[in-house]
Amino acid sequence: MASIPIAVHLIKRTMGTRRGLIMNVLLPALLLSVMAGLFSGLQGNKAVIVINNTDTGLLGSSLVTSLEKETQYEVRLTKDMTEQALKAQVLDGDADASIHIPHDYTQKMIDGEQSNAVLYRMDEQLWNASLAAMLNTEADKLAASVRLVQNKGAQTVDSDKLAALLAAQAFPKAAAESVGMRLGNIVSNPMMIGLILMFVMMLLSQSIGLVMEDREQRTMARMYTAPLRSLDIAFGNFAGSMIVATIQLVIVLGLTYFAFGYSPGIPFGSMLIVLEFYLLAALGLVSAIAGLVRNSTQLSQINNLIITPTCMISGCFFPLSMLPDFLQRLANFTPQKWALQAIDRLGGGGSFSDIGLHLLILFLFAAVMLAFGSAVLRPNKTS
Amino acid sequence: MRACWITVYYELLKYSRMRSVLIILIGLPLLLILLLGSAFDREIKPAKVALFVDDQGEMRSGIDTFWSDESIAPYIKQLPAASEKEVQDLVTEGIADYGVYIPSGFSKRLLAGEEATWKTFSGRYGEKNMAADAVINSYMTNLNLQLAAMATLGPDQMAGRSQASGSVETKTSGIVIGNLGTEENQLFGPTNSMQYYSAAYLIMFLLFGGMSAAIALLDQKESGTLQRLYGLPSSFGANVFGIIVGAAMLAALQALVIISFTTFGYGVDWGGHFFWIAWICLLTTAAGSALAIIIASFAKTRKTMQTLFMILVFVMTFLSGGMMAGIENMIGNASKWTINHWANVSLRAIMSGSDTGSVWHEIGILAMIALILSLFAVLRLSKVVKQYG
Repeated sequence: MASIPIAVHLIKRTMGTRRGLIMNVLLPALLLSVMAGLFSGLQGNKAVIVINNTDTGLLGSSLVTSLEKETQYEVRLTKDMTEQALKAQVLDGDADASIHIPHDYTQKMIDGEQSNAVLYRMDEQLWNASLAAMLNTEADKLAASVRLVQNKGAQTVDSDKLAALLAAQAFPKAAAESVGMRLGNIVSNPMMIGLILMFVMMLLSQSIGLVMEDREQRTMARMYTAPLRSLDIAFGNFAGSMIVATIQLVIVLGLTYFAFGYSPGIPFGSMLIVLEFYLLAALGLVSAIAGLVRNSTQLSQINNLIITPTCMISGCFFPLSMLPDFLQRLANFTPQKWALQAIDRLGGGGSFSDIGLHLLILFLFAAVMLAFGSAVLRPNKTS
Repeated sequence: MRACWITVYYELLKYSRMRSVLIILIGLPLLLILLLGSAFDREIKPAKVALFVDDQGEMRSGIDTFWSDESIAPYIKQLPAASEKEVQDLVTEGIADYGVYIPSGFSKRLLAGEEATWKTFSGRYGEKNMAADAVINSYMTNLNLQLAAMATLGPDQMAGRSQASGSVETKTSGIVIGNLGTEENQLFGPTNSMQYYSAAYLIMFLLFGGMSAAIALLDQKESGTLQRLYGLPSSFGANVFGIIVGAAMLAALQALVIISFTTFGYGVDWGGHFFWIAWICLLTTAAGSALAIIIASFAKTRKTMQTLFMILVFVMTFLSGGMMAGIENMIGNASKWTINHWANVSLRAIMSGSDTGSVWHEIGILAMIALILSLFAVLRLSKVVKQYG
């Protein structure tokens, strides 16, 4: 148990002084917590659609009813806006899209003319392309309904029949039934957890930087003269880094969970366990990097190069599915991705048996990387 | 003058040997541009839908025609599955964005006049769920229309329409779409995402590069070599100027590599007018170096200066929309107080080839900022370089 003093000493060096405590523990914790507060307020906005229905006939309101049934949109109804005002709503960002139904919408359709509702949007995106497709379907349906009840040869429509036909469609026989899926919202909304993952990795690289300093200043070499096994030294240093990071993690998580009310739907304990596995893998990654460079200045520079991009491709800041396929495959080699997925599964109501594979991968990652990383402890390799 | 150039030469020689610094100043922006540019491109990515059709009844052919229809291809990419469980698993895993299971008794129940359903599994992304919902809705609407017509009007009315069963109707379009952004992306303006992030990260890393002058001065002061320059029979000012010019030349190299690499490697269109782009880069570098020197004059040590300046650049980049496009709309005018904003806006204006007058306005403001910061930096410079100042 000779490694305990080494670990304790490493902890003292990172957070033993007042400056260390503030800079390494409290400040990052506070920053992250504030961000958590900000992001929890930002989420969950539905697309706002303003519908201006000026139609005097039956069909306009039928179109509106079918839109109102869609739960993904927040529909606002008006009757007396000009088209200009509708455009302004979208341009000013008050609405995400607006729809104008002209006053002769029904009449034109009955007369067999082209009858158009107008959809205004900023630009084509997947959601509003779907909205347009839906509107198209509805409009086609209305046109077809009108044609069906049209009296042969004449341009007149039996409005009772039309109403009956529309009413029959209001209670459809065939429908799509959505099966409730319990899915986590971490993968699709990773910002908060992603930031924590990034910060933890940066803080780990700091304590590994201290180990590097030992090597540079030959303290490490002297340690080997003491009656210690090299395994004790390695274990002491790595355990110390882990404990430091764990303390920071507990503070950050505690603040975000209990003070700022961020709740990803995962119990505090399970979250901590997953993140602990991630810590181990991240420690491996950081120390493997440290084994490649000569001094601690280089380490902090090279870390910038590795930490930010790996966080990006592993989906810490935006959903992984936005990236091209080859980058998504590349993400499998980053510990962040597995940690995020594990947390996502837990958030979706999964148990630890569901994330066994993820934890195993993180553990193997740690084992392999730490083997490389132990090079950081070789005392003779300095610049 | 000669002393100045010799200093410049040795500064550049020094930088050329700091490989890790060069990688960060040049390699990192290129990497970030690639990652962000490809993640946020404006192409619509179709939703991946896991599909299992168990129905073998009369409507199977109609269902198959529907799913293989060309008109849904922009919104939907199918992933065939072999069971309902597999559909669900694909969605849970995140391999599919949405799942559809068509039960075996679907045709039978409907034709018997009972209610029948498809089972859908919504995935994680609201946008993709909407797309898949819309596609399924188009099928259901069509089907229900026929069913309703049969029920209310009697089967004979359907004679003329039977061949259309199950397919998406696209003959008459009842909707007119007005894109108010007219060819412009909501987030990135008239430029595409690659151009947007190329500009943002060129500017951010030029500001970072501007820091190298202040770092060099503080380093040389801390190690005591700067003071020895007083002993030389040449102007001290010329030497200090040389150090700053050396750093500026590093920034110029940075800009050159980033712009040419993005042009040829990523196909970014910088819009010509390289004279103006050079001006913007120069002004940004000047503003960045001046800001770093001002901070150095207060911070005294290299570490504190570096931390403060890096935080400042990060905040400015963030506020000007370099990390999250569209943030300007959320935070109002705060972005106008950053150096990045004016540089980015003018670069983007050049890229989109807008007329010269509007670009000069932004460059003018950038020049004003650079001038004011430089004047202030000159006043504070003695605090940076004098050991006991």
